[in-house]
Amino acid sequence: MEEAAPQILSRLNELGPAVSIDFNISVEAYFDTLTTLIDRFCNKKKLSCIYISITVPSSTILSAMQSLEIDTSKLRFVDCISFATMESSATEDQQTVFVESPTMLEYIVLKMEYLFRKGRDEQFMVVLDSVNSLAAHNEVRMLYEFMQVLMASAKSRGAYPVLLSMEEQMKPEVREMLQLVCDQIVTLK
Amino acid sequence: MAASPGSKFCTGMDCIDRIVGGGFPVGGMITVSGPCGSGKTLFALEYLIRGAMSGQKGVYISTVHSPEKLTTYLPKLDYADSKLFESGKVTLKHIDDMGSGERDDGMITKSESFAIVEDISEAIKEVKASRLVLDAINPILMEMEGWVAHSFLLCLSKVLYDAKCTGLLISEGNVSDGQEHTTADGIICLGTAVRRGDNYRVLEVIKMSGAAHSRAKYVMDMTSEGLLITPMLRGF
Repeated sequence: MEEAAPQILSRLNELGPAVSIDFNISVEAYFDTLTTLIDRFCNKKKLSCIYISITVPSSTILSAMQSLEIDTSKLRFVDCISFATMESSATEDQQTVFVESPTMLEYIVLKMEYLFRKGRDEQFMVVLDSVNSLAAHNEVRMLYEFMQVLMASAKSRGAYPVLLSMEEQMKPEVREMLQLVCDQIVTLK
Repeated sequence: MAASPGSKFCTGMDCIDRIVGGGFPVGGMITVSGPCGSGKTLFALEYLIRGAMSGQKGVYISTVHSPEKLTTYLPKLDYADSKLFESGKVTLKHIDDMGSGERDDGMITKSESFAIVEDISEAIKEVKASRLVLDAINPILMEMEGWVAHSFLLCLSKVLYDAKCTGLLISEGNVSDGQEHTTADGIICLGTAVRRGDNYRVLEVIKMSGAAHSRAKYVMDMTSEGLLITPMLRGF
């Protein structure tokens, strides 16, 4: 398998903001994809990143990035998993907002909007990790409607909307839905 | 140019202006109803604060909490200038300071209801307020006979209209009951909805006179950046 980073960077640079991209990746390429998006793309371009975490708690991603000495100062999380597992911090932290359950899709949109407002002068990348996890909690028809709202909202802010999907876990109906809501689907090989 | 009664003005709450057809009617009386904890008071405070930040003074009349308690429990609002209250751009009052306190057999008399409206009118004129909040209307109406309450609401509606001051009447409970809704120019309903066991805070515009307002149900979030709403998903 080719390294994921050059393919991700070239696609993002080529397409620019307000174009929704799904990166269909293998499980092995997951961590490489994260570091590429957060460090090699966002930090290099001085973009803020709204990271919607459905799969891995925000604290885990944050620790992993910090252990690699990656600058996380412009990283914000909409954490949809920690509340359900009772891992959310009791006190508010500046970097993370929590959604009680990944089934509460409207609140994901509202928390993203909240972070946009808090950083009204910043340019953002919005990363949804991952479509498959979200599909495990929600019906595809509901997910389709949600994706349309989320993508439209991110695009209207001039953000880079990025979806992550796992090649190994992709159901046919989810793939079909992605084809309808994404401007580009990039399968990393 | 001064606003004329009947025209619209932006509330400054972006999401509300979008769904009520451009803003509230100038001099109108709008009810914001909902159960406990649905966000009515925060909605009302944002309405006053957004107004004050755009130069429109406001009066907040509480029938429940004292002004001191209200400011103590006010959450951190990043959009608000903390000096709005001290500078008099938003005046906090308590209903006990209005009227004479006269009661007949525990009920507010018609003359006393007029005295309360007169004092509200004075409070509006005193600061040249463009916005008023009466939070909540139910405790006052509960102390009135039905016909007195109706007359009180009509009189209050006229005072607001004449002063070109747009008032929010905060109402505890359901929109199907409460005569404040009958005389209102607009009705906004806050509440909760349950979907697959999840609880959502929701907002609906039931009525807004003279406006092509949204009829959709919105999920809302009260944040330090103000009220945020998004259409409730249907899933077809």
